[in-house]
Amino acid sequence: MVFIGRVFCGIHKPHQYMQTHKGWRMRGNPGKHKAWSRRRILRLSSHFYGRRNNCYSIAIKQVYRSLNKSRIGRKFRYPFLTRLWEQRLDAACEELGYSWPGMRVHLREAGVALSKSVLQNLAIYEPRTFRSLVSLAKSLDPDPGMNSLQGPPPSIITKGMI
Amino acid sequence: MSSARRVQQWVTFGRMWYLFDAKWQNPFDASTKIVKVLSGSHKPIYHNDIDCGDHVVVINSAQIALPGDEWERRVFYHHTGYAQGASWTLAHQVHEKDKTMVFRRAIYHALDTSLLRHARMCRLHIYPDEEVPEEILRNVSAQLRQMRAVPKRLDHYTEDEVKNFPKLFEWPKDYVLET
Repeated sequence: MVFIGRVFCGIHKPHQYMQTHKGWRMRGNPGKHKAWSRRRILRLSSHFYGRRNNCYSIAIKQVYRSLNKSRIGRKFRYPFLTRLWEQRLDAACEELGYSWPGMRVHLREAGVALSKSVLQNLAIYEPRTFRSLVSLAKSLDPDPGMNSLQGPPPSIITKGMI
Repeated sequence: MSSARRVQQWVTFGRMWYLFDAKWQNPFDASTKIVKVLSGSHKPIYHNDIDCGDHVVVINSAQIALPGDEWERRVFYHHTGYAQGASWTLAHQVHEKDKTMVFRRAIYHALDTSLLRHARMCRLHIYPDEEVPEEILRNVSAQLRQMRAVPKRLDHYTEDEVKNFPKLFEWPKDYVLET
């Protein structure tokens, strides 16, 4: 299809058109405009600072750079989060007089299939639920020592007994 | 009760003030305990980028105890920034100059090298003796247990306590004790 009027006005040039078995059509892909592909890139750079936010030729370099960095960061994401969850669970268990390694072993024994991520969320947002889980793990601990729920075992002589 | 209010915790982000008596304590051992409180890693909300640490008030920093001959051996490095500006000072000389410096440097080195390091150091209040300003002391609501028991010297006992101390036997009067 040729828009003759546009060709006469010089908007569309005849050499941009080619003849096919279906008739005339534009060379290349007429549906794809440069502005749209640029817009896709500029959406990724919208949160950058300065001219790298809006100027395409600067933004494209920064977008490739940031995408590359996020690819590298994906590798370190879960090791970091696992370490963070363990630190939080250590802290939460020590507040309640127990240890995270002990809790981990005895929760598995009790058949409580909660992940570290869920447990640390409970420790932060539902501390009473977490306390009950710690009590469950403690009650399964064969040698809870002085921190047991029922007090120290009878073989231990404490200051108050003498 | 709505589910939002059920999990509401008022003092989650409150800052506690802990007291630590540094009398006869090794500052390098004590730093492991104090750093944990200053950086907030004793709380379940801990994250290395958020500033959730508590305050620690350290008293009696003049009476710290360094192990072995560390007073003579440990050196503190300082550089003025100018050429040939490096200096190394022995621990006992630093302690003579400032009774809080050895303790403060021990904590500073034990803290993570992050952007929050100076904010965490600001929450450490060190006093050489038991005289703490009233506006600091009235915030204190908890105590950090000492890492080791403070020994009592023989000259700290009264004469009666020494005389009445239970003995298994008496030395014969003509027995010559090796000195």
